[in-house]
Amino acid sequence: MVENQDQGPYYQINDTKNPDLLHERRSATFDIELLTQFMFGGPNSYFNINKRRQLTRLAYAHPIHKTHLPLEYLDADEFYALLIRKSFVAIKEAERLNITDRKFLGWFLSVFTNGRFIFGLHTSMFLHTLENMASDEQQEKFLPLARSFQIIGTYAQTELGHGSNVQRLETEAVFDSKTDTFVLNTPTLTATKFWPGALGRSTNYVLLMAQLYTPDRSHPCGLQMFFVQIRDLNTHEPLPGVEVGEISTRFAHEVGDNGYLRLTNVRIPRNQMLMKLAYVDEQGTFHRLGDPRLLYGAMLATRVNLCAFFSILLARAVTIAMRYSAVRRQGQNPDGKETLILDYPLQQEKLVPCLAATYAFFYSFIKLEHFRASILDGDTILFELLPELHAISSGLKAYTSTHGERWSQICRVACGGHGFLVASGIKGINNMLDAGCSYEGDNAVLYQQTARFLLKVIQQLDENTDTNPDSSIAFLYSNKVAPATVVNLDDYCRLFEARSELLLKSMSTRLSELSSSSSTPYSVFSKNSIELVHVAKAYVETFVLRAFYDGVRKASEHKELAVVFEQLFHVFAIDTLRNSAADFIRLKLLTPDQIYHLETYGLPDMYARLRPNLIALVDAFDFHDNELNSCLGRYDGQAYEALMERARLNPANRYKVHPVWTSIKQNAKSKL
Amino acid sequence: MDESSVAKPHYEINDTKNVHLLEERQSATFNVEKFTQFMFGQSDNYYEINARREIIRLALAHPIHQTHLPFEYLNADEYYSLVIRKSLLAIEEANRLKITNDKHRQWFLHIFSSGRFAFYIHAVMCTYAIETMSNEEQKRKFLPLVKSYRMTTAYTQTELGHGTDLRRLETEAIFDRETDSFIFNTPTLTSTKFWPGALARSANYALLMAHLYTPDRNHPCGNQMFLVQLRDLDTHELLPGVEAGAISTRFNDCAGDNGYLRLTNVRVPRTNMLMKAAEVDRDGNFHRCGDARVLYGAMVHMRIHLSYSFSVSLAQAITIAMRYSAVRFQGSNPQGNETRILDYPLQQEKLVPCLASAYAFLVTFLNLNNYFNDLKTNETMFFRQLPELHALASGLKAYTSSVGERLTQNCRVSCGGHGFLFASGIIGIRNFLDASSSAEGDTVVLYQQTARYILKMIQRVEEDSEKGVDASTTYLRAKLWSGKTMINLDDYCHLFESRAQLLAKEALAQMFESSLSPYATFLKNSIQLVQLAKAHVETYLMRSFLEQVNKAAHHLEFSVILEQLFYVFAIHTLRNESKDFIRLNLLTAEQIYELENRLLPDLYTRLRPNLVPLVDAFDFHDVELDSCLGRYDGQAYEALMERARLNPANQQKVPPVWKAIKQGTLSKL
Repeated sequence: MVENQDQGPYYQINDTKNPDLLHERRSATFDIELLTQFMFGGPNSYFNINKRRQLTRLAYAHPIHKTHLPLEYLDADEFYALLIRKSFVAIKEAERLNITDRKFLGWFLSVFTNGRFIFGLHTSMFLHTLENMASDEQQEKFLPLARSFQIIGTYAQTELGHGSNVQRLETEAVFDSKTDTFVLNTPTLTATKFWPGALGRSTNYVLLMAQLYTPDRSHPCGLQMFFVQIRDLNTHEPLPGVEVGEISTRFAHEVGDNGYLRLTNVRIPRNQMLMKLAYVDEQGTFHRLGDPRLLYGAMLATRVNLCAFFSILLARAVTIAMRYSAVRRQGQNPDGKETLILDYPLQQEKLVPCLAATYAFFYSFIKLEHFRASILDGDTILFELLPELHAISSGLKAYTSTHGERWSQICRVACGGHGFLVASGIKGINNMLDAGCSYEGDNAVLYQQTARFLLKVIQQLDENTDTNPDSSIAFLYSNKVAPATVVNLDDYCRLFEARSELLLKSMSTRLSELSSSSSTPYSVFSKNSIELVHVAKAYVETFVLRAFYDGVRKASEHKELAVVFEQLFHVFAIDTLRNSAADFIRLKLLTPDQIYHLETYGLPDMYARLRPNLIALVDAFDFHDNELNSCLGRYDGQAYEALMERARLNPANRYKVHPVWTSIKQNAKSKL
Repeated sequence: MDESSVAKPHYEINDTKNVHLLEERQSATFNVEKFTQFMFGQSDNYYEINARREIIRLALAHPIHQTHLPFEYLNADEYYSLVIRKSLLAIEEANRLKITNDKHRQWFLHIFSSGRFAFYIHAVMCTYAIETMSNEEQKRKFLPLVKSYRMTTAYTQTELGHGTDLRRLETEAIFDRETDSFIFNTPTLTSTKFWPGALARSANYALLMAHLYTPDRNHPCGNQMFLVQLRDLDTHELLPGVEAGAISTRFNDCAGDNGYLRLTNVRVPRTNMLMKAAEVDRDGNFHRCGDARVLYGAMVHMRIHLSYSFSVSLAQAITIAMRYSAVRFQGSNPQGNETRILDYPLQQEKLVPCLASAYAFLVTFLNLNNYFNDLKTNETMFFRQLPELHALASGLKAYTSSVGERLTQNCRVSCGGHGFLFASGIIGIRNFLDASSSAEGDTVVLYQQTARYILKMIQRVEEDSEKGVDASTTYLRAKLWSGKTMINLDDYCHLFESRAQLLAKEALAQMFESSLSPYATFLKNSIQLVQLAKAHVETYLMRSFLEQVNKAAHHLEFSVILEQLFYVFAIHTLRNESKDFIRLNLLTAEQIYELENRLLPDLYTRLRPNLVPLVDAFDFHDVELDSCLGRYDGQAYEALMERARLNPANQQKVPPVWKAIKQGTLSKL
């Protein structure tokens, strides 16, 4: 790859055209590029900002981006055709530019296709699963075809009737020893594969999760993964026995081409079951080979990455809302001057906690990713730490999507009506975060998994065990008492940890009391699930707060940054605390008056101190305008000009009189 | 049309095809139809369920509804054409069927055009505004045109740069004595009218708010309302000097055709300024003549009406989510059986408070609307109570849209991935409520207006305890709640009222203590003032709900359930604001914990047999819900599959772009 590309920021302060926004940028008390490099820079950082800048510049330099209208103005067919075209061109360009590193390639493909790379599941889940579940022989055969995009696949698991509970999937693969094949069927309506991305019109293969029956129909062997061709590679027509199509349009085009799949007696050779962990021999005998926990690793890596994705989405939303709030004026003060909406306390109350939460999300992702890398590294897995990684990644995925959805909604509202336009960029973000609450594990289900882990930990707790002080559960083993007053940042962390510990312990006690009576553990867990989710959330909050705290401490080498980070930390901590005020009071960790003071005086005070840096703090996220795709959030601040220009591009405005009115008016005349 | 008799429900229990849903319906402890009649059926009840049923039947009987694909499958031009055709046909049909009652007519137009009536704002808002703001002569001239839809108007107020603060609007109307006309201009980019529904391609007139200058450019006379012709009535072409078009697409097309408008030296006759409250004479002299509060009254009317559509929307969302939760099974218990998702406490936690809130919203709207209508019969009383009405209407509009949006989002999430499909019907509702928390008054701006009123009231109480307060604020001088535990429903109302009273006193004290200017003090305390406004709205919701429960006193089977719903609503609302109640020493944290974690789940269990019947009682037609998940018959999966197969994307065996790829003819760019 070309290494001498410009790695500097996309914009300089002189690119600002709106004078109010310029004023904001000049009032910053720290160097923005310093913060960006501190948080996201360096080759060891997941975000590797300099590399990202290079890739982004390369991607946007291509002339294809000038050839089409904004995507919201395309009709369904045009939209799909453009997506496919851009996706293929992106692949070619990446080859030409010799971008091979998997993460960089992923970035490039995503940026090039405006975040809509159609074969995203192919390059992630599909390839990854082949690499981990296919036997060496299978890998040799399939991987070259898949890597060169001759085979384009997706991952077909969820069915119309079943998502969360994989065990209940109904699609079946029955071994037929005569022909040495599996016969695949979706025997019921609810067995229809439903939702897989790119399945609707784009992929020619799927990795199909199905119930295996071998040596015959009466011997179920559980779920296995099969490599199934669904379309002809030359004509792209569906093969016999395959019904495939797109499902009812989703609101957000963002991922796209979600499909359904029905199979009727489709036969595949025996060697197209992925056989690294289990295999079926010629006689139809089923053998287990490997440790199925290997699969687990891939799922966890996906969840960890989602936390980064959700953090980035939220960072975009708050960038847009913050910049627009520094451009928009509304209402007037007694001197007859209009007020910048960012100066209203109610606007700050919406946006500053959201900004602080975004930084908290980033830091908790960084901490989580660090933890993941220490456990899952290629083929070596520290199995004893997997449950903790599972608990915290599930919890954080649920936390960042749920809260991200709500925060991005607040950003939408903060932009008033204009925030509701597709051209604001926020609606699309909100939709993606909303979808994120359900896919890759429903949030309520994930929180319960986190809670299960915590219960196990607390039930086996031995306070004399040596634990890694960096562990997310270290606080359960410590004897530190909670602070009576909140003075420094660590006090907040310890307050949240004390709350988490108390909630967990009382829950554990209650559950064991209840299960010693007549109820089964299942029903006890289910009956208390609302509170268990609460316990899980409280634990995730300790993790997020600690991660943020670590981040602030790291910044101590840069005084100008540390000050600002501390302020953001205060905002995040107080905002999170007040939302669970009843807990802290009931558990006697804080008094109602303490919380009232923190909320009513502490928070607005922090808003005021952060005020000069609010724009600088979103600029530091370093988004290219094309990534934001927002009239409201442009770097230059020309929000109104952009809105007007975008409106004029609307194809609806190409008619002087819309055809329906021409025909109505002509009919009216002919009736006379 | 026969409007008095009892009409049959849209569905009977035997129409249920899904066995689980049938079970749910059979477990009801009350008669759904009787309950619907009790809640929404009486002829003096705004919902007039029997008339509504008739209207829905008439509207849906028309063959046009069988002629098109679901709306999400139409492209932008097809969509717009269909909406216009349906809307115009709806008007014709309403005339043919002689549906003359205003409300019934609106329902008919709405249902007939699949909830997308192109001239909705014209029918609901503009007609009312033109009626209230025109002088007699103008009424004679304009109303027949307006009511027959020969003149169709867009309510054209918001500009690109200004929405909330009307004083800052920049569009100007300058009187020109020579031609006895006004000259209209949008002199800056930010003065471009932006957002009005139906403005882009549909309306031929704008009901336009502009700054009047008369007798000349140097004499500003404030904002006035004008009827400005935009399009030729024969050709539908834009008139000279008028630039209009569609703005960047909104996510929710339901209201649709939102537009922008730029005017360059457009002339309009002097008599097209609406002159009831102020007029300009032939010499350009400006006179105030009527009571400017009429405008205010129109706005209050609109806001009340909005909380009606928000409440109904929330009821639709919860109907969908509740029915789907009774059909969907997921997970398995130790016996190996799958569990109905409605049986999970976490699902109940999402849905039951939402159900209770929908009932609370519906009865509160009814209460406020009745109050408004009673007052309207007496102009003196009406103007006297206008501030109170304004505070309630603004607060309720803000509350039902913003809280409704969050509750609808819970419904979406509770339906899992399928909830995210367009065909779920929920996403559209959520977008509508989301948009509505900004349209017609931004939520926090409205709350602040409500708070201003409460501050005035509490000041009056503090200054003179004998002075009268309005009915909805009598709690400001009531004795504070001092009970140990809440026993009956009234206790909960009392609790909320004490909280609002204490917050009001606290806010007033802060206003007095402050050394800043009143403007700066208000601004500084705005976050707490918004909280005060919400607290006020919540007292009104609780009281309205309580009244409804009391009305059911003679129907034991209903009152039991309404009481349970009331408790759920009260506790759910209370725990969300637990900080207030604890800090103001009204409840302890321990009490709230018990309410939330013991009583609330217990109420869910008690309501469990009636959850589906309680959404059935909202009496929606499947066509209104337009949802694969929420169908009355419970055939959710069948409907999803059928809908997917209808997708035009699936009509081609190989999409054209793939043909091009396979034939090597894809553009290289």
